[in-house]
Amino acid sequence: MGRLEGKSVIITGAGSGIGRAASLIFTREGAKLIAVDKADGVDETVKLVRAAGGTAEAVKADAGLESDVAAVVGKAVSTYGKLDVIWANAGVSGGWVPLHDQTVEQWNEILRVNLIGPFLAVKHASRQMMKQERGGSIICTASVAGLKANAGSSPYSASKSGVISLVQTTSYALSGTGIRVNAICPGLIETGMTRKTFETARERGKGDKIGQINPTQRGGVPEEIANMGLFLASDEASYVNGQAIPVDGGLTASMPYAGKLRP
Amino acid sequence: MPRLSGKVAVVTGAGSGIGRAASILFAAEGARVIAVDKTTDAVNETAARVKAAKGTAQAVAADAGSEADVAAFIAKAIADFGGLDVVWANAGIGGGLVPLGEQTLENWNEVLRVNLLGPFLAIKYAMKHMVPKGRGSIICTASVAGLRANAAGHPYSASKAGVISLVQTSAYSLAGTGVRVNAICPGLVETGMTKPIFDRARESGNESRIGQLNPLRRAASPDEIATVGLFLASDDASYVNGQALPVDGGLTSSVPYVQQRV
Amino acid sequence: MPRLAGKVAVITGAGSGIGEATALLFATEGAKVLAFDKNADTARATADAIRAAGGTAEAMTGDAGEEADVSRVFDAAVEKWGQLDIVFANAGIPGGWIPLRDQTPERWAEILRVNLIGPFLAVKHASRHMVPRGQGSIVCTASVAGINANAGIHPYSASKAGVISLVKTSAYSLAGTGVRVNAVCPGIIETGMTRPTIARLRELGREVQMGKLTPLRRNGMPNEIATMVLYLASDEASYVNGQAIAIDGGLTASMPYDVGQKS
Repeated sequence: MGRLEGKSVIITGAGSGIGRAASLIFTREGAKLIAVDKADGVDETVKLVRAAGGTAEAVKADAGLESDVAAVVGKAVSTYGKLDVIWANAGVSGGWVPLHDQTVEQWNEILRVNLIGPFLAVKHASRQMMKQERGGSIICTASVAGLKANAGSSPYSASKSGVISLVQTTSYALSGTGIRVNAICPGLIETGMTRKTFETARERGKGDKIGQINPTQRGGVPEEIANMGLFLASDEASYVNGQAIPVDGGLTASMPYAGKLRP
Repeated sequence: MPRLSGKVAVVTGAGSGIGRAASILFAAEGARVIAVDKTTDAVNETAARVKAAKGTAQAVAADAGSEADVAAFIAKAIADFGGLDVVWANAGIGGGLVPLGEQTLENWNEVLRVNLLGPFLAIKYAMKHMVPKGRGSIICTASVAGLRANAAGHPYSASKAGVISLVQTSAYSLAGTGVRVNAICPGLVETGMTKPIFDRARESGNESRIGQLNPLRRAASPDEIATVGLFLASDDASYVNGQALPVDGGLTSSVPYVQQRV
Repeated sequence: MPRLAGKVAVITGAGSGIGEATALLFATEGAKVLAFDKNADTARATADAIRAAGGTAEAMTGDAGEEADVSRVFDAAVEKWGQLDIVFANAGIPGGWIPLRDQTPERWAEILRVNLIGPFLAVKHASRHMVPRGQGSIVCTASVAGINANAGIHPYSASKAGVISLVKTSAYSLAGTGVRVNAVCPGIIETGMTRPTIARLRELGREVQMGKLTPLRRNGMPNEIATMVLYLASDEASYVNGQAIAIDGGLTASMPYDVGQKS
């Protein structure tokens, strides 16, 4: 009996990275999936899920557009009869633009996808979940960048800190409904969004330097984020609410330091 | 010795509340102030009060979330007073308390525009003048709402969390320049923005309940936020950087709790 | 597939509450459990219950704040079962409800001894066995009281804040060793330790109000903490390190608020 047996789940940004890893792991645990992405990779994700014996449908949509988000929730209900879990994982990095070259347009697009998108997911998913008996679990991908500096650009970091705030305020807005809202703060993980960072380091012969500053001394893999999501999506996490949990090898447990780590 | 002697300061949201208190206080401490607000009468009144107390201030009616307006009032500080030492990006809007299921994108976007993009623009334009000088202090008004739930509605809280993030990332962008960036997180303060809440409490006979949840058992006055801004603006705070300081009577040091009646 | 198959775990404070629930859950997931408690009867009862359900367990008695006792229990696990994979340093004492003006240094010292020095000793001696094998997971019981005020009296809260700090500094001390260190921060959970407080509040007609403070409108149960500890102990949490994770229904997502107002 899988840990998400019989649950209906939406995952956005499912075309690659964390979203794809989560799609595979959740369906392995018995969930029925609506996989959402704006990119073609989502079709491949569904192919992989079905090849492993799982149940999934692909939807191409913009996670920052209200009509698309509402439609995706509607599709989960029409396909599987209900919605138990939504993981608002889609996000954009916005690249690395020096502060004095940043534009309002860049800020607005990053905020739209990274913060407004999760707001829309919480708004529309909770509306459906409140019609059902058993509450539900909403997960948002934030980032360690939402906690402290030097993990992303200013607009990216601000958008992710907004997501952390969002899970706090909306968990309280949903008081008494049995719906839980939490965020995961990934550290440095190799995904479609971060590929350039990793490739650049490897090209420069510095591949083994990646992730050295956290105690595990390596970057993370998408499955490690997906495992936390699995826990939060399941009934085992029935008393975990309003939290933003870093999965980062320990990076946020420290402030910057110089030199080698000593006991 | 006046603590901001010879300094030039820009304060937004200066038409009332924290911004007005800060404008008056900074001027009293020797700063020349560009007072900015979207409400013309209010910001003119602030400048008039500063002048009545023998201080120096210019009033500017502008939208703190508009890039053109931000560029203009920063340029005005240079044009009128020859420099720029302090910017307090204080202007903000409340966004109301709308149930989650009824919130609109329009409201979210407007709250983010003024409350988060406004401070971003203030930093972007201020740094152009501060970095060549090798010094400067930028202050942003965040809120306890940016730290945890139950102080305000969702879009406001998210925007203020973004401001806290912004002072962290900007402090690092400005590494080595001598320019510091910090945020203040006020708790419950009676200002133009919160006046409706206070009025409602008074009307329903609940005035004595205001501010009961923090250990000081009261709301702050705008002056109590302005004095913290004065400290951050001054050279006394020369090693304070990238921080978000709650000025809230102790509110954020606690989880929700049941009041014990002794 | 059992999630702790082949693993050896030591749990302190295993005689009741969270420790007992975790011991039972770990055994169900395939771990061999050494149940340690200052109360010999309850430690033995936990081990008996595990065996009755078909699991493997032993009981030991001692003081989780005494170095010799802590060292001895880990050595015993290794002697019995050849390895040490997981340590749950859970033993702790409450502070009671003493006003600040009546508190004494002696009471502070005793609370710090068990609640903070105890976990320090657990990390110190567990890592002796874990580091040579290049793997291990240490979980300490902190508390929401270690995060913010009004969840416990001063010495208890300070001791738990110390535990949160300990897992961060220890994670860095163990950088590159493959050993992870994390803390769980339970909210208001119904256990032997909290029973007197909850009973008193019930008498005062305030029991309903306690649950009302969290969005889930209820206290937590020991098993809801145990599931988080299971996750952290398992390999699924391979990139979670140096963290203090609250399981509190959402309590720490908020500051104090007027319960009458709906958000």
